[in-house]
Amino acid sequence: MTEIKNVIFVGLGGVGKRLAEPLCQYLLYNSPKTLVTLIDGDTYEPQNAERQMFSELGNKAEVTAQELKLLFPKLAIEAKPKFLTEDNVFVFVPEGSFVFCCVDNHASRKLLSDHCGELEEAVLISGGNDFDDGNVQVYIRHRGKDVTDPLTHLHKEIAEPKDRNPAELTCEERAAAGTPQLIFSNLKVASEMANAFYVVTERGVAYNELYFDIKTGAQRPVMRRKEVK
Amino acid sequence: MTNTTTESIFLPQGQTLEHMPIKVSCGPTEHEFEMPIGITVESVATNPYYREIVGFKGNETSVVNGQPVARDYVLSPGDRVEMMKEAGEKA
Repeated sequence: MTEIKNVIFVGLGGVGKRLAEPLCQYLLYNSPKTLVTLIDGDTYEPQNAERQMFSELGNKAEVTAQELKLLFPKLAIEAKPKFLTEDNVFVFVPEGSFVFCCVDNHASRKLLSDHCGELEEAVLISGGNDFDDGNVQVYIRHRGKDVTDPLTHLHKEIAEPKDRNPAELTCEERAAAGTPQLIFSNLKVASEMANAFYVVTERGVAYNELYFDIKTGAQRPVMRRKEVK
Repeated sequence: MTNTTTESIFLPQGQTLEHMPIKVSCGPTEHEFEMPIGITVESVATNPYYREIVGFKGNETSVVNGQPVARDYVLSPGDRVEMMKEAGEKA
């Protein structure tokens, strides 16, 4: 298995929370010295219970870190109760990180993609869903070069996001930005992000984007660019 | 007597209608179609049959063989056309 120093979860909502537990279980037995960092400035609120499981109300990163430490006491887990911004991304996402981008806005996806694009070594796995379909993107940097395309490549909605970083929004604006989601779509994205992690660390790169549609059962992996930049 | 076959209506005199395999995808869906030689990306993007089968809107970014192309790009046999589906926003 590829040596993994840092695994970072950005966003502990419907996807990130579902993904964190099996990833920690996997890391405990396959890469037990990995530092797991959970980043989220948002809080669990009663209305989140429809799609998300949490033991108490409070900051999502801190509550999830507490829960995971109970389940995996031998794993190093830390919480950063902040939204990822231009001011802290350099501190929170260091060289050599495996990053799971589980956010609900394209502005944060662009921020992470741009930042990873400046690192020598990084793996960024980003997932997102609409109501009953979604996608997973895999952006790999190795020796200062793109092995796969950044999240912004051919995705204008990420390259030129119309939404804003949640750190720039009020609580009311964040609540208003929420749209109906299906728990099964969240589960599918989380599962495919975990699969992408396994593929990257154990098998090599097989695709840089994967689409799915729950309604039709269709799924398609894509490797768009054959040449390495 | 005038030749009134379908081919003579759309093709220059003496030219026969030939087709080529083209794969068209959008998001998780991909289909292979037999398309007339000389067809452009614009003709694919605005064709309601392809739109219905593959499930695209027609205003997506057009990508051929992994590279973005202009709408007047003329397709070649074996080309893979992708109408870029936007990334899922929520999580």
